[in-house]
Amino acid sequence: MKKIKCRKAENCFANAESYIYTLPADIDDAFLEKLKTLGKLEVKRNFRRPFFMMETENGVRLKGILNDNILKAGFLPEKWEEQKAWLERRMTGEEK
Amino acid sequence: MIYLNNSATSWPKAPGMSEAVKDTLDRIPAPGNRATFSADTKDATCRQALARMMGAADEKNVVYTSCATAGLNIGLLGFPWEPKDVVLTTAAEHNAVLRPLYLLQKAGRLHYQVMPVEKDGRLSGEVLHTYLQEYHPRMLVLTHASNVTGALNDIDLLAGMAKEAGCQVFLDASQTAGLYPVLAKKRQLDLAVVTGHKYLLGPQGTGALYVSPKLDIAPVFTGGTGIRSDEKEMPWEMPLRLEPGTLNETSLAGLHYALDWNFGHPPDLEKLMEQTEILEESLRRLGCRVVSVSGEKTPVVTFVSDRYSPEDIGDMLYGSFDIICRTGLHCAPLIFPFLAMPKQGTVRFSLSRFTTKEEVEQTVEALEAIFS
Repeated sequence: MKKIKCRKAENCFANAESYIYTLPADIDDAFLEKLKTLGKLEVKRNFRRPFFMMETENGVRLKGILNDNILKAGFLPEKWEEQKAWLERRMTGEEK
Repeated sequence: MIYLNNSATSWPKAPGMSEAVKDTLDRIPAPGNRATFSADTKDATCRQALARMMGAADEKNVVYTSCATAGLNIGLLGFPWEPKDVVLTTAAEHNAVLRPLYLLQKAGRLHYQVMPVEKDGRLSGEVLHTYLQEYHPRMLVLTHASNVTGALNDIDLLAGMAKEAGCQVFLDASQTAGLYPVLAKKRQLDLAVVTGHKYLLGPQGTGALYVSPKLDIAPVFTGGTGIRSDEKEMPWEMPLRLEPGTLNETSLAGLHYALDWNFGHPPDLEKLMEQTEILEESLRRLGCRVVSVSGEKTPVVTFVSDRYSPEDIGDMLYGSFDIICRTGLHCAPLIFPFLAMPKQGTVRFSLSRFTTKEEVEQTVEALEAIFS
């Protein structure tokens, strides 16, 4: 089974803690349904490639392209390690 | 893919430039004193073309560099500072100016003052006058045009004021070379830098530093020069003094090609500004806040939205619409409060002379999808 890969995203924003996750499978509507349980999800289906974005209840920002396997996550600078660990536990199923 | 990040690096390049680089790569090096491809079989060298482009009287005043940042570092770190020297710079400057100044100040070699800019990113004559009177600076370092807003500074006015006040002038023409003249000698600039890979449409890894013949810059890097190898120090003659090591000749061949192409194909600034204006008007219509710039400018539009962060807008444009732009602080961290823009930065579109009407229309369509 393919693992989830993670790397830090390089960008030009002060104190940014942004990470890019390469998922083992493409993001589909079933995945989005799971994301909805974490916060308010916005899906732009009118885009050439539909785009989704959300902010979880604990302040993590997630976004990506539907039918692609890349998930971008933005964590709050003051608690990024805690948030990253939380998100990764959710993604690997260690935490529901 | 629609490429709107030409202020960062231009694409496409001058037609045929990549072949010029490949031809040089495939050529056997000439029997020169350093590993060299220069056989000087053409009428003019890259250095002569750079001197012409920068408005230098003599090619000896033009030093090859790897980029404008390298030129700024060579010029600032090699300048004969005295401990109480004050340097004036502006809040619109790129980190290529700010970081060397910070380093020099931290080392106790100078003090610098950052002058405020107008809401379009320009330095006003009134502000410069006040600072010249108060600080009696040794040098003014400023950008020809803001890489965030595109606004051109009135260099004739500002350099003239500085020179009259006995202050030396270092111009960063990274954003304007290829669009607007540098005029180093005419403007009595003491130092100026250009980069090859932005609006000159040349390769990365190339640039130039103009050094006035009245100024002595000490070498910051030292090494082999291919001649006078028995001497312990860099030869004093210019430009050799500031060019140790093997030059990036393959890329300089590309830059030479691009410069010659530019001379034969001046940009249609009116058309460029019309396209830029279409994007600006569309963004305003869609409720975005756009930095307004009148007068001379580069083809740049910078904006924010109250609905989405700059990062999100950039991700949507690239991920969903294949439109490449830049988001964030643009390496110019001090300018945003003066523009009434958030400190996190903005979205920036920077067009090129090759940007088509269709590409602008498609970008407007993408923006309408995002914001409507």
